[in-house]
Amino acid sequence: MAKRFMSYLNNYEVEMKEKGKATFKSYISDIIGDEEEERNEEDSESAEPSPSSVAPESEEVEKSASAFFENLMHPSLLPGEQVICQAENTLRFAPYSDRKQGISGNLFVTNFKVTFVTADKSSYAYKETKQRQRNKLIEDNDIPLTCIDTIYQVLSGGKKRALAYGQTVSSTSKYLEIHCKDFRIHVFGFKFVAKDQNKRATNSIVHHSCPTRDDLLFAYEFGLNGKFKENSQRNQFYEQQGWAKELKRLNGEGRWRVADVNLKYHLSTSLPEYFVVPMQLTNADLQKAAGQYIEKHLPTWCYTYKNGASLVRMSQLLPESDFKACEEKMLSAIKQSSGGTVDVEVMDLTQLCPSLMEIRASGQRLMSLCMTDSTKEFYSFDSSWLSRLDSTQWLQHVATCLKVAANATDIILNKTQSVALKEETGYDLSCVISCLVQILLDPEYRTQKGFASLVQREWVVMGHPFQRRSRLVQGADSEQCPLFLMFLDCVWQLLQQFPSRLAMTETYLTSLWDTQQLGVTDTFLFDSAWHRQRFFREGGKLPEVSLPSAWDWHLQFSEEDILLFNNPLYSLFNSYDLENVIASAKGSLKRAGKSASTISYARSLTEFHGDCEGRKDLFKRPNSDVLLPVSTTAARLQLWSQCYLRWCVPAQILGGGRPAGYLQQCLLVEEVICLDHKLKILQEQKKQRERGRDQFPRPQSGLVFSLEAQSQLNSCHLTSSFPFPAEVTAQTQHKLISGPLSLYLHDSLVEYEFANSED
Amino acid sequence: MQHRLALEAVLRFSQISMDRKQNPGTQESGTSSPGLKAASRDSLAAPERQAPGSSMESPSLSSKGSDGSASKSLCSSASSSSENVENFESKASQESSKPSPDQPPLLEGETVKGQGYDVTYLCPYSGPTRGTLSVTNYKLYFCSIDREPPLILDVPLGICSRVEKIGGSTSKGENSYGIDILCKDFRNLRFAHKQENHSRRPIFEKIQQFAFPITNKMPLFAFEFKGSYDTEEGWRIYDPQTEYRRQGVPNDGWRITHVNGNYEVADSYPSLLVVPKAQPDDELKHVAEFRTRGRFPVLSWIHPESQATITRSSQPMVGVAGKRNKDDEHYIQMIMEANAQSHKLYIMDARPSVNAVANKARGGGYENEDSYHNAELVFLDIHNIHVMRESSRKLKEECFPAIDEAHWLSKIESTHWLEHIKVILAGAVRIADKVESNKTSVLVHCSDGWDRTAQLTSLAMLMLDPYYRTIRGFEVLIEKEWVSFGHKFRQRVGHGEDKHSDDNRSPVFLQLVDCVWQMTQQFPNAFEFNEHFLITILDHLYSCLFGTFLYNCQMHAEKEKVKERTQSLWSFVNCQLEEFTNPLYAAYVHAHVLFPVASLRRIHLWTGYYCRWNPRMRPQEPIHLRNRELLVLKAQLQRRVQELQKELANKHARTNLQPSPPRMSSPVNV
Repeated sequence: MAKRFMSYLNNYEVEMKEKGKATFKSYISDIIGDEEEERNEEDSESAEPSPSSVAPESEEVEKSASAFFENLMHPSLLPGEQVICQAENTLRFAPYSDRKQGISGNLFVTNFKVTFVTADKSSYAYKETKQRQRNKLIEDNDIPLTCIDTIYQVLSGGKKRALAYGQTVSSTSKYLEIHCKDFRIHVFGFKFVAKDQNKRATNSIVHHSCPTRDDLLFAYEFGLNGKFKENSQRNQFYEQQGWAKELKRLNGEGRWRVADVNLKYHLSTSLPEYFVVPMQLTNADLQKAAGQYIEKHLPTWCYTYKNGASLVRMSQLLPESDFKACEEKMLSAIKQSSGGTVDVEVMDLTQLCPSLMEIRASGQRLMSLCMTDSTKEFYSFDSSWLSRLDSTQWLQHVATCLKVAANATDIILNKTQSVALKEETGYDLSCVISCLVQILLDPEYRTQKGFASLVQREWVVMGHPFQRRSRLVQGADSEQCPLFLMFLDCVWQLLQQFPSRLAMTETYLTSLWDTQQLGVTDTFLFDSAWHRQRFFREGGKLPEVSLPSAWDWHLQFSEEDILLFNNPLYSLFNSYDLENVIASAKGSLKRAGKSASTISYARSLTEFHGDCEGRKDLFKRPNSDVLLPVSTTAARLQLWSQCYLRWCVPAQILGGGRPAGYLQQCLLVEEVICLDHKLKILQEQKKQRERGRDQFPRPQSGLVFSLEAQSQLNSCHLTSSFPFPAEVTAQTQHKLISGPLSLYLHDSLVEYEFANSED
Repeated sequence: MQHRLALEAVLRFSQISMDRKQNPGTQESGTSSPGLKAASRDSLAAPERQAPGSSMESPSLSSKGSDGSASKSLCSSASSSSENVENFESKASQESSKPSPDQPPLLEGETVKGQGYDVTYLCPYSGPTRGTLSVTNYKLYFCSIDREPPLILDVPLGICSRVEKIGGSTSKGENSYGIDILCKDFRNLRFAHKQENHSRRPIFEKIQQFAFPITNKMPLFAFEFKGSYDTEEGWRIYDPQTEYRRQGVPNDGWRITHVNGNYEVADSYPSLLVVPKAQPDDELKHVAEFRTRGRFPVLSWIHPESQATITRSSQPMVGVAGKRNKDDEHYIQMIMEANAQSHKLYIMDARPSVNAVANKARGGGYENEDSYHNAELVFLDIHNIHVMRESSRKLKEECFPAIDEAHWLSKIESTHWLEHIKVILAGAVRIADKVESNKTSVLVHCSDGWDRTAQLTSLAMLMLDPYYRTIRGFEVLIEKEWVSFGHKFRQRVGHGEDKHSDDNRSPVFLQLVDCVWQMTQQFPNAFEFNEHFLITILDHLYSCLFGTFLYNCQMHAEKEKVKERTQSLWSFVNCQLEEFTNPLYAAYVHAHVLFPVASLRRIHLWTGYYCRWNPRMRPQEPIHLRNRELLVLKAQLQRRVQELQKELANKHARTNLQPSPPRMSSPVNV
């Protein structure tokens, strides 16, 4: 059936080609689109009688094909999503095609996204390739309105201008360039769009990409219609027991307590209802102190290390407050709770870290640097790339954050001194630094679950204003700041420096950034816990308003795609019981070293001459769980190319890049697990012959090659952007001769069956 | 005896960790107490590393003995030294197991030529340290006495580019009087001497003498080195006939010629060459006359399917008058015709067009498209050796000793090093693309055809042919395109000569290795060799320990009987392949053409080489070690599975008479 359908499509394609430009032209002419579509369909249907087709089946094929095309010309909508307007005969330009290569179709603006649908087969074939990391909520080329950063209108004269939010456009656009927060540029040609549709589409995108109030966001409609149940397993930190649980895990009970002083947000709208404070502070103390702090962010607990030293975060005191009395009281309470011997080290992040304004400017420069849309532009500043990257200051800011976090960690770890992070507002850089410190200190936060709960606690619940920082609704420009991206970048740098110590991959981090831009998750939509509650209460009178959590990855991705979040090195060395094998491997290394006393000076020259690589560090692990030292030297920091350059077609390495190494690691780990499993069975057989395989189900590695059905791997080409869909231009297509991913399994020890999904 | 040497080795390794610890400015300090870490390292490393000093069965003896008679083969010395164990142990207890700073480990054929006591090494990262500096005919060896574990420097003298005295007998201030050594491998060394003990002059003279043996009319150390490696002879890795046969030559279009058998046509070419079949030998000589130094176009590589070729040559001697040569034109035509798939030929001139034009004044130049039918001339804009030398000089300034944290990327850009790397890679991609995608043959040349041409052909071949991405294949590639085709290693590196400002020197080969490293970064599982392999090649490019890179051309190397009198670097490499293997290598995935991205977005500074002396540059958790662990684990498990299977099979065979139990189907096919 599927095969027939494909052949049908191919016929259709041939038909279209034979008709040549005539069809294409009539299609993009001013005749009303719907009729045109029907005509196209009729044409293709009349072309159908394929010699091989048998009557009853052909009817069926015809039916499904016509259903297919009907669907194709309408956007697929989520519950609550509505089409606002459409622009027929829009051209969507392939990236880096210098606006010479386009597909004709209809552009739709909905209350959720800007989407483009076309009957062109090439876009259909593109879907067939089953690229990885396909989002269930949006198609590859859809643009969530919340992801839009800037809209540029190009007039017929070639003049290009950025459209401001709230602006009403009266001129028709020749091109519309949409620059997105995920570093992607979409270009649409409006040349053939009817005048009224042209303006309406432009204005709709401008208006809806940044509404005036948050209850005008699509998330509200989505929440009304969706029934998202919160996973009760996940610690959300909105409730008292969430904090209590974490406090217990870290042995902070007795010294710290969960305060309910902010119940119903009477005290502060920026703090959550529950937070943790030193035991000796009463609610009355807190009430008194809160007034002295900016935004009432009084010192709250973040973390207690094994040695009793704790991490605390707070905002600055108001200038008119009784500075000394208040701060001293708070700090001494913290000191008491951390053992009472050493003073609390106050780290003023306003002094130590770049300001929001600097980060914002830096982020903008980074975006404009990484986002190009023409090959000419790409190469024109290639030779000055490094100095331009340097002048964005992005990597320098990342280095500073890492440095501050490493210092704080060092103080907690080696001086057993508690650290208080102080910042003007208490909910921006404190989030970055406190998370980084905890990741460095505690392996729990390097697991995916722990990382999610950390971000939930330190960013979401503690009131990082996501809505303002990513400017989901209209507001002051100065409020916008890619702080969360900077944090993810810091984590990415740690991942590079400690490749086996974090459970997630860079794909996880990039997907997290994308999720924030999606604008429909409960997690990244609000400015504070209070704000979240208000959204649900005031906006929705109905009790069933609910939004999905960002941590529920199944909302967006398939099971297989989620496997790409797993770091093979981490899973092997942290989740499997290989002690035995590692010990014997170590032993064999030693034996090899001994027997070959021929490994003489003359042989190991290179090591003596200054290179320190070799057998000596194999299977050696640091004694400590802490990730230190962190390298912050400029020469070691790298640009996170997966996130920033994934849409940059000329920079894509076809058949290579980091993903190639990742997949090879996955395969090696899979092989090790297979062999270990086999070994266990054999050992069992040796002891008693009857039992064996059933007793030892093969462990699930949770890696991409552990899947039973490998068909996915066959249609997926590898580029440096993997697993994100790579748009390959015509110029580079001929170079894409790399094999499918399943090639990795070739000759490997991993059992696989080529699952034929046909019929 | 052995124990002590082992200990020494261990301590030597610890230098790195010491550097890191004692550098006060770095983040790296303060996680755990240095002593603890060093101790644990000792206990772990000691049993693994027995041998390193074993070649010197008796240090005092071999340091006195000036000829090779004291040294035996490496293996035998290891066993004979056990006799001294007892003796040593008593000694060791007295010395509280300290390594002996004045007894450096020696290679066979290596002897200590001079020693300076109470010398201070001014380490740019961990500060000054006092110790003994020894000079042998191969290396500089410094061992500190005021640190635990001691800091050890082990530097082949071949790496010295320039040795200078600093300060005079009247110099004031601490450490202002001593020796400064500029090295070819992106570092400088500085030693301070005490004015009063007059140790500087003899040491300086010995360094001067043995660092520059050619200037002093002495043989390079490669000829003194008596060691050998128990492996296939490295000199036999490359056999031109075998390599051309692998490419399918001779065939319908190409034949092997011995016209240069006595190096009469082109003295810098190898004796065996491949030319179009239709071309008679006599006329080749006429073609050679029209090419600089007789380096007429010959085959480097042929595509196994399309028969499109890469050929290389030097520039045509067009001159200002615009001379033509019918034989040359006819010959180029034949190269084109040997490829039936295309009626076009690309001539890739590696130079910027301005330089190509300027060469006309010196009798050189480039092909006129009007005279060469169906040929398209392309300039690849790669700069000459002088520009590259200047760029690498600047790069060294930025990388050593400290880096400018605030403007690192801009500073790197200002050296233009990566820009040059990019242009070279881009040129090679163009060649590979023409050959692979357009099925068109390409002739590559620059001026002489031994610098930029070699870079381009070898990189294009690496992109096109997966064989060259294996360790062995890469060795063949270097031997073929560089050594046999007359890259002037001796002049470009300046082996053994005290002429640091010689303008023949240039980092041409370093650039090639850098480009290869860039490719290994872009395609992490396409190469059998690892970064360590590339660094090892570069280290021994300068060390003069092996004969591989000592001469300018094959004729010269044959005259000096290099193959008989020296060891090949490839022997050293091939006897310990596991050290140089990339654990992520997946041949089957990359059995096709690689097109690296020649953009600075994807080209990075090779800090693992250029900044390797800086302890802050070392990764905390090197990923290559983790990957290698996977490979070791896999091998270990495979071995154990096989053992068990065998055991079970035997058991099964013995109890064969009984009805056999149902056979378990196994999840893996080993």
